[in-house]
Amino acid sequence: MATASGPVLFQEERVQSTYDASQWRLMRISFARHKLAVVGAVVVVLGYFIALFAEFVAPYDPGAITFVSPARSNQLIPPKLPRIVHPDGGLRWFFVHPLVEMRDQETLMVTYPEDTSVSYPIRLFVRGAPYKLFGFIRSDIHLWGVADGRAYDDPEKVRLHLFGTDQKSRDVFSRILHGTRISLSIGLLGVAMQFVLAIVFGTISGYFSGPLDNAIQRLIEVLTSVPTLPLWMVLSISIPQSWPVIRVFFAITIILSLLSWPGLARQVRGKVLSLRETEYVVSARLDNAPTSRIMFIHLIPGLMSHLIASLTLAIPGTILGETSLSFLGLGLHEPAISWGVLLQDAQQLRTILFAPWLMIPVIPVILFILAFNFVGDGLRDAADPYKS
Amino acid sequence: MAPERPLLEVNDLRTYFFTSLGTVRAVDGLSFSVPLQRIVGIVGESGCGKSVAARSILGIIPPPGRVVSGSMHFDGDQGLLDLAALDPHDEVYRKTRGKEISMIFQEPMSALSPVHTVGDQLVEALMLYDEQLTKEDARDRCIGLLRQVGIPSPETLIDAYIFELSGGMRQRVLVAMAISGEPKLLIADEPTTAIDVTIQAKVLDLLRHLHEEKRMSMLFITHNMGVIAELAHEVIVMYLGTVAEQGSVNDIFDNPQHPYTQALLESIPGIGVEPKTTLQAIEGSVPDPYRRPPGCPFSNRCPSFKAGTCDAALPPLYRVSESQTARCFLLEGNEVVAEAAPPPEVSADG
Amino acid sequence: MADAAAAGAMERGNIIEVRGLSKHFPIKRGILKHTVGWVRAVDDVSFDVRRGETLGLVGESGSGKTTVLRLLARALEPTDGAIRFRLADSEVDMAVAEKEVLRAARRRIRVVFQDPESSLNPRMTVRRIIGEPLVVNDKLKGEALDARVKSLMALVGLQPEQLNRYPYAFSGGQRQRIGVARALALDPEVLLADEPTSALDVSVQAQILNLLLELQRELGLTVIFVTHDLSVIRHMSDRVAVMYLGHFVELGDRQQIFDKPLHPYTEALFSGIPQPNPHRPLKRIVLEGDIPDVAQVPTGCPFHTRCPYKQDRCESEPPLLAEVGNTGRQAACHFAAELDLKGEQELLS
Repeated sequence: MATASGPVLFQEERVQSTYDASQWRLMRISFARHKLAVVGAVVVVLGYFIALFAEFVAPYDPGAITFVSPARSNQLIPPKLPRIVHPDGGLRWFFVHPLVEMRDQETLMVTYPEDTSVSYPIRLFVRGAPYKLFGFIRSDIHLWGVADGRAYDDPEKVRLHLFGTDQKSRDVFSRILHGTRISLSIGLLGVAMQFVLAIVFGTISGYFSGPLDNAIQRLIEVLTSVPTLPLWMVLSISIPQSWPVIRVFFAITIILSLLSWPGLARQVRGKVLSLRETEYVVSARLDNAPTSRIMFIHLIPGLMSHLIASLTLAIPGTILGETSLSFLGLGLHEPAISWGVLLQDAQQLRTILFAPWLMIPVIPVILFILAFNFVGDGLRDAADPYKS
Repeated sequence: MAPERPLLEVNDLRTYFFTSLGTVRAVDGLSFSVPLQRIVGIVGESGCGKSVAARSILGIIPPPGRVVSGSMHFDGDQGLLDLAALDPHDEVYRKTRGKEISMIFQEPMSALSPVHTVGDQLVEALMLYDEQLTKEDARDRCIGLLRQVGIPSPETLIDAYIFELSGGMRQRVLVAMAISGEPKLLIADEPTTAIDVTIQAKVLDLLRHLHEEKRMSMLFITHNMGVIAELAHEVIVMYLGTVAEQGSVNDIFDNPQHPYTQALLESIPGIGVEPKTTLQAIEGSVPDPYRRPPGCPFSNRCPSFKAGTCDAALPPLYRVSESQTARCFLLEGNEVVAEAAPPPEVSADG
Repeated sequence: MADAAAAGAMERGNIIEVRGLSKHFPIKRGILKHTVGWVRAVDDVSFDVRRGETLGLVGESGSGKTTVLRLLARALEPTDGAIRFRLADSEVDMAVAEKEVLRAARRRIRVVFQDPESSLNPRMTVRRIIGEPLVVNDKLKGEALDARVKSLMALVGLQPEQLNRYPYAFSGGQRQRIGVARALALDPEVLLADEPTSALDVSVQAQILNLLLELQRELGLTVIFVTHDLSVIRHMSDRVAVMYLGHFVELGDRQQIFDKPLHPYTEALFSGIPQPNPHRPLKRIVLEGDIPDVAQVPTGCPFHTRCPYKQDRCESEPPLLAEVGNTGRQAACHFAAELDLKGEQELLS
């Protein structure tokens, strides 16, 4: 039947494909418009790639010790950048000179000048320390390294220390790359736990107002009013020293997320409260839709996009939490490698004075926190693609 | 009688928004004038560009929008100014805006500060317009203004916060603020849309009264044909950024020439319409701003659509009578007042 | 012809009988959320709706018209009162109906919402939006569901092949058509329309009004139409109820009310409509003051603070909605029989 208002004559020559596009496609389009967020996303993806393939991407084993002079083991070697200008004046592909240990006769300071008579080029896909990727793929190919043809464990081997070495003469650059693994995954895992807790408590609290809501609200208030750092400290001191790294890692993740879900749950509750009153939810209720359907079809998808954005913004908190705990010596310990563990070396003023490069692990922390914030901002703006 | 120079003369105004999805020609070749001491009404549906036109005059177009061409000559205290040629942040523009041309917005809550009292905001405005004014004098003037806009016991209300007032009162405060600089031109953008019928009646009465008393010119923007009929002397019917028809209020209501004006008037369930009968609706809806129909913007909804003519070119503005013009090929043969100018080639950074 | 229709409606009797309906919202303050007062959004309202008619509910903000509509659909829990629906196959008191009875009644009593922007889930395709009541209630799926959705889309003037589109791809008027299609999905007897055109442009409003009129004729629907727009009420209703601050102040035949209102508020409302006719502006009755806060309804007659005909009695004694003389019309005014109020035509100058 044609309606009284006439046939559907001009119902759009709109054949634009976006009219059939789903929410996720629209979100992608609008996210791509946010330049900083795209840059952030690239950094984040790169970070997780490094975390997955740290053994391959890092030039050295994070535990391997460098000897410049076989007699000494605690050699703090400063960062050295690869060169392209050869001593004879010509330009060459990246190369390094071997280091020699020298002691200044007056100040008794140890220095590491280069032996410019020899040079070793840097190559891609070089053989080095053997490793097992994901625990089962055996290999000794590294993405890049110094090609000098000698066995990797040869103490005389010429090495490149982009970010110098730590007090135990281990390559800081390789250790940072390996630290990515724990530091970034703790963010992801912690946030995944917060996500579950926030959705369960937030949705229940928002949809069923009344005593249940009240109880959850009070619980949240208590949790948020506890000062975080002391509680973290108490909880993490109670982790037995004898636990293996993996178990400590999970324990720390749980501690961090137990204390940070309330904020997210509040956001979820607020969103559910407002969604519950939207006409489309009211109309679903009047359609006789059961509560479970309203929750899973109307409410949760409605807040999902916002939640993902908030979660992305919550990752930095977890990363920082782990970093601070480990820095204070309350979180992970050696032999675990995380950025916080690396920064433990930078605790003493004296060390920083002599070896400022031990502070370098701060850079990835800042970089990834910024990246996650940019991505989160972009996601938040993209979360509502219909409001344009 | 030599024609007087109008207070505001807008000529071929084009205000475009450069978005990532394309260029929105919100106002596209708009020409009209506001004569001294007259009320000009702009009427149109959502997306016709009526609010953007008002904001263009005030130089408050938010990015990514920009006035890309045209002129807006305003005959104010500082001589004849072309507002379109001025930088919106220019000193001259700033002196004109607010004092000589002021605006009443649709949503009083968003136009007034919630953390200052009514008095604070009014006094500040007054002292800005008149630097010699002392605070006490300004306060007295304030009370006078509030009384003028029909606020009961202004002596106490002057110290109230906006949220303590009812919707009608807020709108009155906004009117008081708008007339505080004794403007030559008052622009009212849907000032009664957000308020109830009985309150709307009072605000309309107030505006008419102010116009009669202060002889100020007014540009009144609304989607409501009834409000236009009641208040305006001259009417501009806008559709998709351009004038469909303009004329005196009697021309438009008694002798509409453009099919859009005719359809708009017929689609209202007014007093003369037999209840429960089929109304003359306009088919379809206002097109997406990114996909305007070719030729006449109304062509895809027009009951008098002629293929090959209406979708081929934008019709010129034809003269209907001395006071009335319309942009429709049905009037072919009449005197052409203005040829339809093609949109200029512009880019976002222009 | 209108009279014949009205007589027909009378024969068929009442489909809805509302008695003493109230909805009071508590005003809560402080951390402990104790109740410091009540907003009487709807206060002791009684009325009947005849089968097949359109009852227009008109009022300004705070009048409680939308609350009444939501109570009828039981989208809100009433504080007090009875809402009896005499449906074709059952009789239900919506005020107290539980589970299965409520479920069955809600199939027959459907709502069209005000804002098509927010009444359609933006994450669902039209197929799922219109199909939701069918999936939930009739367990329709697959081809049967598609066929039903497509026929509903055709019924409201949408192109059935657009069923995979999301709401944002439609204009405001088309979205409201989607809302109407969903309301019709379960073969309702009663359609509750909550300001269905106030978010739409003038030119599109007429399309939706036409659609509703035609559907009502074709499907024999009873319609309750809520709006603040008197022109729309005049066009759509058989009978009109005027609300002010939670009360019905006048109820009666549309033509009679528009010709000669019995309540001063109705008269003031008429005089406030801007007429699209520059030659015959209305004689305006300017009311004093603004609409009072719903949380502080004046004592006595709620309208006495603004009424131009106010007398001492009005301040203390609340008038009840009662039949005026033998007119078959009801008004809540002590002086309804004595006042000579002007209708719309008389108000035109």
